[in-house]
Amino acid sequence: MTNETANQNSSDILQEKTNGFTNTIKKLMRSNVSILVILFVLVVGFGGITNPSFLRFQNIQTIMRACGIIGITGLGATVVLLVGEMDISMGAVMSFTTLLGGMFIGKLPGQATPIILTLIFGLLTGSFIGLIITKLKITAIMATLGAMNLFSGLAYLLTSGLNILLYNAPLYKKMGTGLWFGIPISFVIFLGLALVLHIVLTYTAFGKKLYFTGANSKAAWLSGVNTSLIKTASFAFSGMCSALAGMFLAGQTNQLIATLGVGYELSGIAIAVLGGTAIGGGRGSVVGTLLGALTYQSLLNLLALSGLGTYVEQVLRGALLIIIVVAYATLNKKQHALR
Amino acid sequence: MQTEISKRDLASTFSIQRIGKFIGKNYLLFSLILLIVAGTLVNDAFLSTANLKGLLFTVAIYGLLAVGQSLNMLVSELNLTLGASMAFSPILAIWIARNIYAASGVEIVRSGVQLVGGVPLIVFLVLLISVLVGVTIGSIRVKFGVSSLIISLGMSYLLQGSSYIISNSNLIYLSEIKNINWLGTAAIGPFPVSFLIFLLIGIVLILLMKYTRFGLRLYSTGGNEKAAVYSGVNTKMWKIIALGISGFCAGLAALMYSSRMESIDPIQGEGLQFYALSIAIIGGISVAGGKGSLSGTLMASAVLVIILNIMQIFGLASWYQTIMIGAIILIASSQAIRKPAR
Repeated sequence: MTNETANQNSSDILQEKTNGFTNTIKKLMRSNVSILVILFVLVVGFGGITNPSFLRFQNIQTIMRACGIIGITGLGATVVLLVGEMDISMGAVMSFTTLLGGMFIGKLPGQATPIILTLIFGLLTGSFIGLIITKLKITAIMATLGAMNLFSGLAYLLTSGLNILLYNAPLYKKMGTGLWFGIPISFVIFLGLALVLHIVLTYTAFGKKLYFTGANSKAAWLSGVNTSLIKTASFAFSGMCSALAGMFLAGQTNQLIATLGVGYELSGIAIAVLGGTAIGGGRGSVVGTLLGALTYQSLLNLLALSGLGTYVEQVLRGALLIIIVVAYATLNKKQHALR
Repeated sequence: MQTEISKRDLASTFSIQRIGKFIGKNYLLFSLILLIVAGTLVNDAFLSTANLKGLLFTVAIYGLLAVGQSLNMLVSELNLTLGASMAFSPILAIWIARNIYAASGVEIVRSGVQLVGGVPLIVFLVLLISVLVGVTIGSIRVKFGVSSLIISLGMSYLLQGSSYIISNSNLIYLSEIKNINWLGTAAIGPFPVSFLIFLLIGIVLILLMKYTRFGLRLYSTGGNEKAAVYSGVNTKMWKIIALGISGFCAGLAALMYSSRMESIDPIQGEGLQFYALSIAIIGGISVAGGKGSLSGTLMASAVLVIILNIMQIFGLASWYQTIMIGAIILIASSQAIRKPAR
């Protein structure tokens, strides 16, 4: 019986080798990346045809700027999803760390000091959440739900509910509105971070361990992977991403407010899932998230260009998350059925 | 000999360990008593009828949402739309009712912000819409196998935004309608009607959970879903039912709240889903599902409301409450600190 299946398998492999070309196309059709490319082209094409201002250079810059910000949160969400957990506290951590770091603007020497501090706060906050999950054995959902409330409350506490305008922070302003060769800085940083993350995930032992932990935490632990460390590290990374994205957002709006990051956990998860990251963990790629961010923001921009208000955007973000998650759940079910 | 035994018995009955165990088992009751004592100490007017009425009304609102959330947690689901639904359901209901009446030439919303009629239809629609929100989440959850947390998270943003869009960010005033504040302010003795309704619903649900097949099915759905499926329980249906009931609770809470405020604010109820969640956790509902009892939730809602009241007396602003809610969810759901009680 086992021999037969083995034979079948080997003949399958043979067939695959002979029909290499058609199989590559089939594989491409099945992979999320190609679906995303098609989707992205469709969105851009549709946008370009229906709305002349969509493909104007200024609008493309706008898309890239916003894409950089939500893309960075998407990278954080991707890593956490890869280890089989979920971070719902990203928005709150974003507000909290940006505000906490922003408190040091003008109070310490060096323009970059508050920015570095914010990143450190992001790392620490993320590690705190990760440690709570792994040491106190709270499910990630509950821990991040709690952290979401905790840190959004603390964010209000820091500002006493007031808006703080950024007067003396040219570096923040540059982060929010600056360009490098016509490309918004947030997008450049997003691409750079994505590249680094891609290399870490695909070519290092750490990356392999991360995928392993997400695919089967118990098996990973039994084979000597320090799953707690991996999980904590992924939450720390997610916290750092939130802090980074928060500073870009603060620079763009030129103010520090407690509601800065509200809803960004939503886009982060939506992008990661759109990019093919499985919610159960163990599957997903940075390339997917990159394409997901581009597609998501283009779609949002296209809809926003139709003259809809902020609340419509909020509705769209909520609806998109549901649609994306449901669509991928159905897609994955079909793929499993095919296998 | 005998006296020795009785002495030992006596000693063991009153041993510190035993007392500790007794307190641990009834921690909600003891913390409630402690909090009431603390409340009377920090505030002379704590036990006055006016303050009690206010407290009990808040208990009714938070408690209703918490009972709904507890049912969700018992079937190992979560519903984060409870807060958003409190604004969305009445706002959409009024919009629908307005269009229905407008078709027959009757204007029930004067100058865009003042409701003047059509209350029975609106009340019916509020409950219907809020149940439908829960059922929708449940249906998506079981049909596509995606977590209710994500669906309801997305849905809560969707509903919140929709509330602002439909209402044009305006409040809708109900003050022109006679006796509109009955549900929110009427009281029998020191007990507000809203609190009595909450208590009634709570007790009915406790009895249902304890003595009927309804409860058994819910517990088995959340406890060990696979086993429940194999023994013929339609777990999908029970999950949808639980989410639907939680929606109903949110709708009822919306009616009570709007009735008391005599207005409908698109921001009302915001964040209350987390209050409900923390009450359910304090009340001993297991985060993993299938364990815990609603009587704990009822007591925990009083505990949380008194804590919040004391915080208010000390002048701690609402963000301190948010911080505390976060801390409660973090600490109380830790499996390392506390074992879930059956």
